[in-house]
Amino acid sequence: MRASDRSAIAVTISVMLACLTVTPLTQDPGFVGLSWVLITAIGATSLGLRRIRLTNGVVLSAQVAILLFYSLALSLTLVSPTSDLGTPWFEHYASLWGAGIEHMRTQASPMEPDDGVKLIFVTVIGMIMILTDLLVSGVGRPAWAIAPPATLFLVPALGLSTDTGVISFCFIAIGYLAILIAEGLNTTARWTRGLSRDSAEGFGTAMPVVWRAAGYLAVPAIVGTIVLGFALPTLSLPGLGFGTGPGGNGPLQLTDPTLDLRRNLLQPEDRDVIQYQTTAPDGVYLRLASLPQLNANGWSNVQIQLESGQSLPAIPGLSSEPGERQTTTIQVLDFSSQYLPLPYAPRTYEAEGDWRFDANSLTVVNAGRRAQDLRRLTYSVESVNIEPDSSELNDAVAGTPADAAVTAVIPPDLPDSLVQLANRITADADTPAAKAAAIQAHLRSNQFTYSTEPLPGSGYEALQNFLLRDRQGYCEQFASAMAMMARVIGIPSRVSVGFLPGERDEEGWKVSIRDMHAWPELYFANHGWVRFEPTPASVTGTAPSWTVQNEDSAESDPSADPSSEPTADELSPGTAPSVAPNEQPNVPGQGVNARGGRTLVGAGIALVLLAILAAPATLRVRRRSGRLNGEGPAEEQVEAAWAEIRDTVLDYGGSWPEGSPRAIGDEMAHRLDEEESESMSRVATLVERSRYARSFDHGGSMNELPAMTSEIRRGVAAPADVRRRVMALLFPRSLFRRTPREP
Amino acid sequence: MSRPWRLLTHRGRFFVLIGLIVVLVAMAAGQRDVMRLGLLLVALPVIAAVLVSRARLRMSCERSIEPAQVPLGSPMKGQIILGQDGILPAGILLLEDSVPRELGTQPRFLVDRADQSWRRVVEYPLLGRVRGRFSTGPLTVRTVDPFGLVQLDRRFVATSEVMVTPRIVPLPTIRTIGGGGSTGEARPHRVGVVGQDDALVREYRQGDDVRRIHWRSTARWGELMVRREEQAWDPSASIVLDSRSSAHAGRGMQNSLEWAISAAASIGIHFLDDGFGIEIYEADGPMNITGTMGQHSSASQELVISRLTDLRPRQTTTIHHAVESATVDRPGQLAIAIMGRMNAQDANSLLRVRRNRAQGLAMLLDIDTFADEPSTEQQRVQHELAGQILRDNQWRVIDVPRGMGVADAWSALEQLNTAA
Repeated sequence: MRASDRSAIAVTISVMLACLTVTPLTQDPGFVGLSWVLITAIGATSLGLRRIRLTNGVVLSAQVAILLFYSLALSLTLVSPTSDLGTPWFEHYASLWGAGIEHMRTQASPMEPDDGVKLIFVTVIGMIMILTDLLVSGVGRPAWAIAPPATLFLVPALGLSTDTGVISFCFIAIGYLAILIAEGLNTTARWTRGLSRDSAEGFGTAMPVVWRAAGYLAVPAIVGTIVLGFALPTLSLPGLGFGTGPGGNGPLQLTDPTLDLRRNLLQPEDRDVIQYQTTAPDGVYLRLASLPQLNANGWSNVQIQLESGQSLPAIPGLSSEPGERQTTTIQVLDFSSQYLPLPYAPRTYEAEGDWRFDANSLTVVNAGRRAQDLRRLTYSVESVNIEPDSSELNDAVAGTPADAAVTAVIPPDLPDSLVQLANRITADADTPAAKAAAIQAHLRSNQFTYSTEPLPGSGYEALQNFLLRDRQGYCEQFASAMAMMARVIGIPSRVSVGFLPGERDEEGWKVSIRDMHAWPELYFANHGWVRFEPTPASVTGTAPSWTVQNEDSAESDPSADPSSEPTADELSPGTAPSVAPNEQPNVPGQGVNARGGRTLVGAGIALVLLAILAAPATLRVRRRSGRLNGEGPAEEQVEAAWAEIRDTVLDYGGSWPEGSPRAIGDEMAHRLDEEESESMSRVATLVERSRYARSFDHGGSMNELPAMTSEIRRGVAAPADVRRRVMALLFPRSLFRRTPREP
Repeated sequence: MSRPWRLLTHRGRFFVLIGLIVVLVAMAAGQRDVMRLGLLLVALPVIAAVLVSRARLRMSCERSIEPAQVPLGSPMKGQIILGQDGILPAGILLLEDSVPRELGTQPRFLVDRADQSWRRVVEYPLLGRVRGRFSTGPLTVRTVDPFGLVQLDRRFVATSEVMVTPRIVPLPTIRTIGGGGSTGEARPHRVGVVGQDDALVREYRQGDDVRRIHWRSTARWGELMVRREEQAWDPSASIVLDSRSSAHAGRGMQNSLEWAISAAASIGIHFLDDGFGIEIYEADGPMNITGTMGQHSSASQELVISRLTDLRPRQTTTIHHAVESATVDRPGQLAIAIMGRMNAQDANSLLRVRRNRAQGLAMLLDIDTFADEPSTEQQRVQHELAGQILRDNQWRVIDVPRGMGVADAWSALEQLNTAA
């Protein structure tokens, strides 16, 4: 077997294994087989063309040609959502790529099957293969061959919040080691030469020895790595993180359900996705998830801790659970999600598969995060309706939920315009419920129009666009605007995503894909999370009874009543504290403290590291300033200056000559420039005199000693390069070397 | 494990550094899966270093070169007998014998068996391409890992000596040469020149001249002893070898100096075989072949070969030293000059060598045929002039072009004589 054959085969194996590491990204493993065909084709090209000793350029061109051809051919067999049979092949190809990118952007991993994604994956893996082959066989740098496959490995490793696991690591490690072993075999095969007779049988081949040595080395290395990988701690310092989430057993980061929201609302054909039968008379809102966190990026998920079990814990904040339970049987049709659609607040559920719940939000999530598990699932749930009495709610104060550190925090960078708007709208209302009702009424007023084409933007910008500029949006804008304003006025809030109750027919309720919806939930003491409905009636029907105060407050429109503007600032400081006198102010404080604490730990560790790094330099500088301070008896000063010169020479990597001071002075003077060598001779003479003269007569040159020493130091440093200088400063060798005592 | 860092190759060091950085960054960022990659990069060189440095080699090595002395341009055969006793280390053993470039490429081989004990004989060809003394070895054992992360070189101590001598050609006897002197015989008598004084006597045999009875020995031995015949003349030849580097040209074994040295050695050995005493004068002076009287001719032969093996081209530009020392030395029968590129001055000074010798023979090498580039017109004229000067002074001169054998040149000298 030739050297190039071994390399090509090793590279092929390596990339084949590497492409298995990206399977967690998508639910469709079909790309693996397609990629393997491509990888094999490219590898065989490399093998064949290098066998007939074609140059790298030719091999590379052939490989690229194969990749392009394969990618195009593959695209013709795939279906693009935006092109049909009539479109030319290049437009079809481009549209597949566009669709794939859009799919990846909007979908959480593992992604649902998509032809565009498949095309992209196969093409990228082909590129990785070409790159790896180029590194190994083309430019002969097999050690670098870890880079391209590791890129594939890092996408799920950094992109997914969970640990990609040992198997994935083993794929990469074994593939890389295969390349290195191929190189080792090539090296040993080249080694034997110039022999005329050899009594050994296997003339020049050392396959068994190489494989044996590779086994001795690779097996302990991989096993040790895996063991150490579990044993070593990871710190997750704030501000240092990259990728998302921890590698260990930390809480789970879930996908953002709002990503699907607009896409589903815009589905070209409306289709039923869920059917359910329920004992609730008006149907139920089926909630997927709640987004508790508000920051500059808008509303988002936080990491949650999942617990397993069929019965859910107590409903947060609800003082007395109503006795009446609703039983709902749900059949999911063509819909997939990591979240189990449930009416709020669920009490028990029965569903096949590994479903777990979060005690805070009562959302139920697939433990394996396999969205496919929901498809065609039939399950039942018992729930209670949170339908507070309007008057009771009016008396309730805004509560403090368990996760107030997230759900009650007003982001410090929230634009003032939004804060002022919230205060202005709620200026006339006196209770939290009334304020909430005022916000909802404001949003449901005819100033706002429902539109699935809001101004582009995200985070605060989207909120400002919606509330202050074009006042167009769909449920997500309405819900997030209301939740934001509720938070501003002191009510903990979150945005829930799910489905509207849908349409009723004789069999039960039918929920279509366009029924996907987002709504705010506000937290009131003794009532828990209460659903509000700011989205206009054209979509959602009438607002829930408890969310409507009375006609007056609903009509309190700031633009219609300009006089409320000046009073807003005066009233809001007075009203908000009165709502939650004890609880509210300390909530943001806790969040800041916690975050500040972690920052402090991080900064502390960084400082300690810096201090350790700087310690040698500090010691050295202090020693120098002590030597050159010009105090003490003349003899000691001279000795100190002499020692300083010696240490400087050592610091800059020089060697200190042996012999008498005069001999050393002469030797050093040779190395230095003219002026410095003169100073060197003078210092040497001083040392000689101070050591050996009966009475030390320095002849007045003591005053110049520090200056001369500095000059010599400059002279020693002059020829050194930057690296040497930095090393001399940070790691002075004189500190670490036990210098011989001079006589 | 005294210096593990030194064990590592560049790749190994790179792995450790990059691996540590990756591990630290991944730890800080909480990316356990990335950390594993870094750990692997660190673990590989560390484990390799431990495996390789822990390994104790239990190997024996015998080595020889056959033959240990060859004429220039002859092949040799190096042999290494390698024995292993005990467990092989968990590494790949690459072996390389250090062979001077003049003798050939460095043979390399590797241990391809993982057995406990074995014996292996490895032979490799050598070619004496350059005259001189060389030593091969020691054998280097390089322990590496299959991933190229560590490398540990160890050496055996044994070396083998080899001597590449000038090429020596048996020469035909030139009958006319010896007879030119004071005796009428063509060949000098073979006389024992070694041993004590009594070696010069022998038992009396019928017919011996009474005057040759050696009475003192007779008295000591108790029977009649006669003196053996003593030589009337001293058979000796002086060889002037032009060893100036400026007078020669050509590459490697084809250099004209090699031809000249080969000729000098062949002629020297030839005369020693015939019982002559010889002395060789090279550009820097005599080579002290016959420094001590009474040594055996085979010892002298070895001395000739050894001295000429070590001869290096001289930077001297004249043959002054050679001529001076040859003139000062005792006179003899023959002066033989083997000259490279000459000029008239060289020729004139060479004439002085023959002043106290019966015959002068000269081989003038045609350097142009040896050299890659032709000599200048002036050089050629000078060379021809020098040859003419020698001929005019009763030297027997032959021009030797490249490709002519030493024996042919020697025979040609004889034919020249008969022709003359």
